[in-house]
Amino acid sequence: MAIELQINNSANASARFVNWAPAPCRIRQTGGAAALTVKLQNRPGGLAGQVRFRATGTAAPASTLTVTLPASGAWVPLFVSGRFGFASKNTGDATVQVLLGTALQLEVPVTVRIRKNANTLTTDERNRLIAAFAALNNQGAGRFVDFRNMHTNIASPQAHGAPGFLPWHRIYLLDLERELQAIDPSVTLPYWRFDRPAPNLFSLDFLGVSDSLGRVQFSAANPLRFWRIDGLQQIDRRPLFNTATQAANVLSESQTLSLGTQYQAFESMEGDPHGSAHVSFGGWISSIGTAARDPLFFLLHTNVDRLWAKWQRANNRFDAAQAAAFDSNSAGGGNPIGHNLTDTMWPWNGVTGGQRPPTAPGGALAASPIVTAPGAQPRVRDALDYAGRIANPAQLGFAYDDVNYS
Amino acid sequence: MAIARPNVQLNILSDAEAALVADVNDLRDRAATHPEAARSALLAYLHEGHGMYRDRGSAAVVRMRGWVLLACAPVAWSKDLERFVLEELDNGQDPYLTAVAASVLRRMAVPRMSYTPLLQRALDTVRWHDDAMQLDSYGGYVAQGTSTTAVREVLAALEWLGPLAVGALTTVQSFTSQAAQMPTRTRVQWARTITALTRQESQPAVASCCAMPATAQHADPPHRAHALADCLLQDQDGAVLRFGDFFSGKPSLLTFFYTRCGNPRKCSATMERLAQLQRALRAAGIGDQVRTAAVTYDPAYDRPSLLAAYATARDWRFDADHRVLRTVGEFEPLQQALQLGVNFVSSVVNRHRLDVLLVDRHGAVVESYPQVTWQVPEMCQRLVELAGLDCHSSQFAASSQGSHSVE
Amino acid sequence: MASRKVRPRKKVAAPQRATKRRPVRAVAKPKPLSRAGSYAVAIADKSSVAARVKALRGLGQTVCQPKTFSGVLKILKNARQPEAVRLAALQALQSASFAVIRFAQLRPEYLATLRSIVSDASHEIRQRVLGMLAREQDGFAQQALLNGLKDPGKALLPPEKALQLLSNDPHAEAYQAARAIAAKPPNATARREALRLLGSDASALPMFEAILADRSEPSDVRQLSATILHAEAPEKLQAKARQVVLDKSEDKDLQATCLTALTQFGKAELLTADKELVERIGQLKNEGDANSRQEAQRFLSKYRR
Repeated sequence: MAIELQINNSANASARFVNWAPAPCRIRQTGGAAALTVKLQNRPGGLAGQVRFRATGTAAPASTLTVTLPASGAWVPLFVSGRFGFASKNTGDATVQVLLGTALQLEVPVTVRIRKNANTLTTDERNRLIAAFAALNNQGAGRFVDFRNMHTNIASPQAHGAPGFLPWHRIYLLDLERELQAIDPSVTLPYWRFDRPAPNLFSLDFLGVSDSLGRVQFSAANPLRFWRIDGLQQIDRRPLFNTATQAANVLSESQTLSLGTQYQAFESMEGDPHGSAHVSFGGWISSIGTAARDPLFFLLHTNVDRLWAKWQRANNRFDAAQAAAFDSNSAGGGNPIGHNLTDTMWPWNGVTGGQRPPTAPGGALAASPIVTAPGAQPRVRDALDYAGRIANPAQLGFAYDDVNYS
Repeated sequence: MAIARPNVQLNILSDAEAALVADVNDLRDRAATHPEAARSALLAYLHEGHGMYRDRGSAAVVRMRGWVLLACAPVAWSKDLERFVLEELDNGQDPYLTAVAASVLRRMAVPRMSYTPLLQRALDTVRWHDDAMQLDSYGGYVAQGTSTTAVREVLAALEWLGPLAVGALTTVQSFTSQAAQMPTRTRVQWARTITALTRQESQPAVASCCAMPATAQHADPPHRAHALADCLLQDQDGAVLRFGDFFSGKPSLLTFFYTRCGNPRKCSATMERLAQLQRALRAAGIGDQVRTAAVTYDPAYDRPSLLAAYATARDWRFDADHRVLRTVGEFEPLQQALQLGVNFVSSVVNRHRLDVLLVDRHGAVVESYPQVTWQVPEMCQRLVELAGLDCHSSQFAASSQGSHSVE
Repeated sequence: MASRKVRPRKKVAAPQRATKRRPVRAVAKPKPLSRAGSYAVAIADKSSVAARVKALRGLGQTVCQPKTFSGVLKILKNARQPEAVRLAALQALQSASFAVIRFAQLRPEYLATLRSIVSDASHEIRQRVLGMLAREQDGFAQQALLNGLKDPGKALLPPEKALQLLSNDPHAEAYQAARAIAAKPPNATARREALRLLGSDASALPMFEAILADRSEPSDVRQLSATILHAEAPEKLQAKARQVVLDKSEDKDLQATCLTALTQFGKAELLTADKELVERIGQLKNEGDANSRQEAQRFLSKYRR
C-alpha cells in the first residue's frame, strides 16, 4: 500500500507551491485492499511556512483534515493553502504530513510562496531575488529586455491613463515573476511600501544607494552592480526624499484605500500614490519611458498591485460581472482598446499595428507549473479574480503577506 | 504657407548644422533658376549615407532632414521625393518629422487615396506622443505657445485628402474621448477633418484602403554584391561564413537591423515580419529553397548571443538557410557596396531606413525595397518567382499571419 | 494582519500666516482637500508655501483638466513663485504625465513649457526639467547640454550631470564630448560619467581594457571598466576576472567585483574544474574582508565539488 499526495493536482515537485488561496490537491492510496482513513496535518515544529486544509474550496481552513481513501485507488480531492501569517522563508519549509492513526505515512514538502515587504526580507530571500534579477537581465543580454520593451513610451497607452492600468500591470508583474521563478522557484516579487521608510531596500546590498548625482551604488558582492539596460551600465535614480528615514511623497495606504468603494474612484490612485511614488525621484523611474530600466520600478508596482488587492478584499471587488469592480465606462462608449474587460492585452495577444504598438515583444504569457490561469493571452477581466475567490481555477498563483484570502 | 528663413531659437545650432542650413537655404533660393540642380542636391541630402550626417546625433539628423524636406517645397514633386515623405509617415516616429512629412505632402502632392493608410499610420504613431512645433524654424522647437503639432498636421493632411481619406474616419473619430482636453486649434482642425472626410462628392470614394505596397527598385548594376563575396560574416551561433557562400545557390532576401534600434516600427517590426515570412515559406514547404538573412548595422555591439536572443524573441527559428548575421570587422563595406541608407555617430547608428534586397542564386542583387514597409505575401511571391517555383501568393497571405492573432 | 490604524501624512509646516480664506482653513483639517479645493489653494499666492505644496500634491489626476492644467503650468513658468511651489507644480504635472491616454492632448504644451524653462534661475528646476526632457530623448535639451559641455560658460548643469542626462539616448551626439572629458576631466565624477556614457560606444572597448589593466587608475574606475567589458565581451572578462582574483597583489575592491562576476555569471563547467581558482577563493573565504568573505562563500557553495 502506498499513499500519494499531489499538490496543485500535479505529480511534479515543481508544482508544490501554495499561497493563501486554496490550492486544488488530491490524495489516493494505491495497492491497498481496504479503504483507509488518514489525517493530514502540518508538520509540527518551528519552520516558517505552515499550511492549512479544506475538504472543499469554500470550507473554512483547518489545521488538520481527515480523509477516507477508497480501496479502488480513486483520487480524493482536497485543498491546501498557506496559513495566513506563516509564509515560507525557504523552499519546502512547510511540510504536509499524512498519518494513519499516529503512524507517519508520507511527508510532502511545500512552499508557502508569498509576496512580501521588501524592507523585511531575510538576507537569503533578498540575495536570491537580486541574483534572479541579475540573471534574467544577464547584463542586457537576457530576457529582461522584453519586459523593458513592454513598458516604453510607445507601449504606454496600452496600460496607462485608462481603467486597464491596474489589470495590465498585474499581468505584467505576473509574467516577470514567472520568469524570475523559472530561474529560482523560491523567488517572489516583493513590494516597496512607499508610504513607509524602507532603509533596508535602499541599501548597498539590495537596490542600492544613490550618490548626490543620482548614480546608484552597490556593494561589491551585489550582482546588480552589473546591471545593464539599453546599452547603459549602472542605474540612474535620484531620490527626492531621505531613503534612510523617510517615506516617499505619497498618499498613505489608508488614504489610498479610502479613495472610494467604486473602481472608478479607486483608479485615481494611478495619480497618487502611483505617479507620486514615481516622481519622488529623479532619474529613470521618474519618466514613463525609462522607468522599467530600474529594478525598483517592479517593486513599486508590486505595491500598487498590493494596494489594489487590499482594496478588492476590503470591498469585495473580485467579480468582473460586478459594476463596481471595474470602470467599464459603458455610458461613454467604452474605454480605449486594451482597457475593456473583454479586451485581450498587448503584448501577450501578439496583436500589432493600428491602436496597438508596432511590435509585441516577449510573446505570450509565461505558463506556470502551478496554475492554469490566466492563459497565454489574458484578457483584462482575467486579472480581477487573482485569488480565485469567484472561481477557484481563476487564481493567478500569487498573494501578499498582509492580504488574506478569506 | 511660405517657408520663412530659419528662426534659430536659443542658439542651439552646432557648426555642422549651421553649414547645412546655409547650404539648403541657398539651394531653395536657386530652385527658381536652377530647378534640376536644386532638386538633385536636396534629394542627395536626404540619403542617410550623406557625409553631412556622419557623427551627428539622431536629434540633429532629425532637424537636418526636416529642414531639407521643407526646403523641397519650391522644387517639383517627384516619385523620389514622395518616397522620402511617405517613409516618414509609414515608419518614422519623430513627431517633428511626421509633421514635416504631412505638411510637405499636403502642400506639394496631388491628393491620392493611397496616401490614406500612411497618414492613418502616422496618426496612430503620434496621437499619444504629440509635440509642439513651429515648422518655419530650424529644428521646430517652440518655447512659447504652440504653433502647430504633429497630430494637427496629420489631421490637416487628411482634411486635404477629403473623402479620399474616408478610410481613416474611424481613427479620426476615436479622438472623441479626448476632445474635451484638446487645445482649441486642435479641436477646430479635428472637426474640419471629420467634415471633409464625410463630405458627399459626385464621385464617391471607394472606402477600402489597404497598406501601401513597397515599390521595387531594380538594381542598376546587378553585380554589386560580388564585391562582397569574400566579406566574412558570423551567424547567431558564432559560425563564420563567406558572404559569397551564403548569398549564392539559392535566391535570398537580405535585410538589416540592429538590436539597439529605438524605433520598433523599423528593426523590431522588420524582424517580426521576417519571422512571419519564414513561417510562410516553411508552411508552403519551400523553406529550404530560399534563404533569408538579417545583418546587423552594429557588429561591434551585437555579438552572436545578442543576435540570437533578439531574433528568438521575435519568433525566429534558425537553420542553415535562415540566419542572423554580423560582419566580422567593419560594416562599412556592406554599406558602401549595397548603398544602404544608414549613418553613424561614433559606432552607433544615428538613422537608418528600411532596406530589403533580393539576391538571386548567382549572388546578384536584383531588386531592392527601400524605405516603405514591405508586405510578407508579396515578398514571398517574389522569392518564389526568383527560385523558379510554382506557388500561389494566396498561400502566403493566409500562413503569414502565423501565430499572430487578430482582434 | 497588518495594522489598519490610519497613519497621518507626513507633517507639513503650519501656514505661515493666518488667513481668512476658506480653502486654507480646510488644509488644517485632517481630511484631504477636495480636488477643487486643492486647486484653489494651489493657485492662491496668498496661501502659505507649505499649504500650496500640499495642495498641488493633492491635485492628482485633476491636473489633466484643461483649466487646472494651464493654472499649474503658469505656476511652473513663473520665476517669481517660490521654488518649492514651482517644484511641486512640476511634480504634479510629471505625475499626471504617467496617465498617457488622459494626458495626450496636453503633452505638446507641457513639452514646450519644459523647454521654455531649461535655463531657469533655479538649479533644481533646470536639473529636473532637463532630466525629464533628456529622458524623452529631446533634441533641444540634448543640444543645450552639449553646448554646455563644449563651452562651460553656457553650461546649464555641471558636466557630470550633463553627461548623465545625455546618456539616456545612445544615439545622441555626446561621444566626442565624452571622450574629451574622459581625457581631460574637470573632476573625478565627470570622468566617471564620461566613461559610463562611452560604455554605450562599442568602439571604446580597447580604452576600457587599458583602464582595467592599469593599476594606477582609481579602483572605482577600474571596476566600472570591468562591468562594461563584462557586458560587452563576457568571455574575455571572465578570463580577466580569474586573473584578478588569483593575483594576491590586486586591488581588493576590484577583486570583490571580479569574484561577483565569476559567481553570478560564470560557466559552471569551467569554474568547478578550475582547481587553482577554487583553492584561491577558499583562502579568500578565510582572509578577505566581510564582503569578499561573503562572496567567496557564495562562489564555493555554487561551484566547489
